[in-house]
Amino acid sequence: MDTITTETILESISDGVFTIDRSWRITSFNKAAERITGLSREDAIGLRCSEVFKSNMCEGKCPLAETFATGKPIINQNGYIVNLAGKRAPVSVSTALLKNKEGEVIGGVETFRDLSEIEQLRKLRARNRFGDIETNSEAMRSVLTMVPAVAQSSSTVLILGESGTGKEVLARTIHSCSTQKKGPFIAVNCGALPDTLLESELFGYHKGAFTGATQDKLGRFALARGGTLFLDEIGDISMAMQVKLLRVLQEKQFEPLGSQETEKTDARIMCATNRDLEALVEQGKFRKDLYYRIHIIAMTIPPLRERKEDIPLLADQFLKRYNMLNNKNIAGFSSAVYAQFYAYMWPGNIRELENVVERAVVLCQTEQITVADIPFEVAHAAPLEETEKVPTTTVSIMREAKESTEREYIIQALQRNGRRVAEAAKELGMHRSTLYRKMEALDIDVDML
Amino acid sequence: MKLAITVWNGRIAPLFDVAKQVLIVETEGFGSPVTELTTIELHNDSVAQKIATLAAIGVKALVCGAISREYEEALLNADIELDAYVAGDVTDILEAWQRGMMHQRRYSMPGCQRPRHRCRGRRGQGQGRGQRWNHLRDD
Repeated sequence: MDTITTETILESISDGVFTIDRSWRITSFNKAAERITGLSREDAIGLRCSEVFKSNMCEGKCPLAETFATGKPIINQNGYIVNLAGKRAPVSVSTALLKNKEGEVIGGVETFRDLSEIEQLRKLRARNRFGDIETNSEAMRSVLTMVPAVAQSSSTVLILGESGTGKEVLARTIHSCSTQKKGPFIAVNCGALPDTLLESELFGYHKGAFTGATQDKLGRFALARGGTLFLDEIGDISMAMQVKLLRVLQEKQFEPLGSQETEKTDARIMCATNRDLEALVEQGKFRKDLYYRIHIIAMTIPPLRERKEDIPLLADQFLKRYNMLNNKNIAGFSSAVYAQFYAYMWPGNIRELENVVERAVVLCQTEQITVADIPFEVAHAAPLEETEKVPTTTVSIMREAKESTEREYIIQALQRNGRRVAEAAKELGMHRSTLYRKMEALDIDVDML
Repeated sequence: MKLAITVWNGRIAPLFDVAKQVLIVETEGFGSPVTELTTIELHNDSVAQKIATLAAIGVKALVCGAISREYEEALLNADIELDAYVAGDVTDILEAWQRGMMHQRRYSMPGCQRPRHRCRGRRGQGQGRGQRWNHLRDD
């Protein structure tokens, strides 16, 4: 290929390309390189590549230096460059040696791809997003599609799901899309409080209602006026408390402790539990009337093990959060970490994943989280649960059945067509050579028919 | 006062974010002779840790190559004066800094009209924005 053709090609491609001599000075700089770095070739040619490229790889991880040292090309090494405005742009770099006709190394070539757009796309890759929740999971998508309609209604919502699946996050999302979004979102963990405390927390009290009640205190029902009251762990409250709660839900009014006056509330009620309320009703541990009062709109959040396609999205979100909180700059997770994330069953769901990422960010001393940074149980999770594996016996039975049926069809077709393979192939809708291959594989001898 | 210069292979390190070696220069100020020269190692620390290390040893000014925004803002917040997008041999740059010549184009990285000079005080006077971008080429 002549020089003019090479230059034309280099000028027309979207990857940045520059070449250097043995003293690290730039000898050529294509149009895409000008665009990505923001420098003209007049500015770049003749200068040190590190001062033109300004990458995090230049000092210590230079791919061209490695290519010079080993003679081997580097393919797609990821890093970033910093432009003159101080903005980082992610790039993927590949390198190769430049040799003259005698085979002597005269320099190197570096091609680099601007990954900014890919990075943007990665951020937008969640097919569905609602408020703080983004998902790629079909199961979760069906939950999110309910959110707009549920948000516009004033009916009580029951959010079901295992511990750590993000029930409160979903409740907050519904609240933020609702007509009362400007009002407060008040969350109470009913399971964490004993009856007497829960009662005073929910309904409030007047001064003198009990020893230590030295002044009036507003309850959560009062505080949530014009907003949303989220009652978490509703399945854990006592039967006595269930009666009191039922009355508020039915009549939208309550009496603070020590008060003779009835107060009204217009708070939207959302409840959540990780318990099987239906079973609790059957066991007589949860009032049927309360169950039907709160079970108007039920939304079930799938556990993380059933929406593993969301693991990268969630892990990235947590990585960003804990990078910020810990003043770190970790770029991502190694592929081995992702493999373990997929293999692990996440009994603690999203909360557990968040904790694992937080721990990894704190422990990680490099630019990428590796298996060494994640807890033992995640790092050593088996690729698939035994129960999820398709038994080998089932596979072989299926294969045998398929082969036997196929064999029978072919033999019948050959017999019908007077053992003429071409005719039988035509009847079976396949090419003659395909039928020959199948006959050989299935051990069918036409002369024996 | 203490001046820090990021160093790599005898020149200003191309990117402050990942610079590992810093020359600490003790001087009375512009034009005064250097009283002490030491080199410290910066590890691949977080933004805050890196700036805290410099602040802890009393660095008041920094000369470096390219720098990303978060590092630049953190340096200014730590009251460290900055000459960024500087390129050249460390000895030449130190001499230029002492002579107050850092605004010259020959000390800047390719594509810059001059090194970028920023300090917290000037930001407060409403010159920060102009100071920030005037290192870029006009032409």
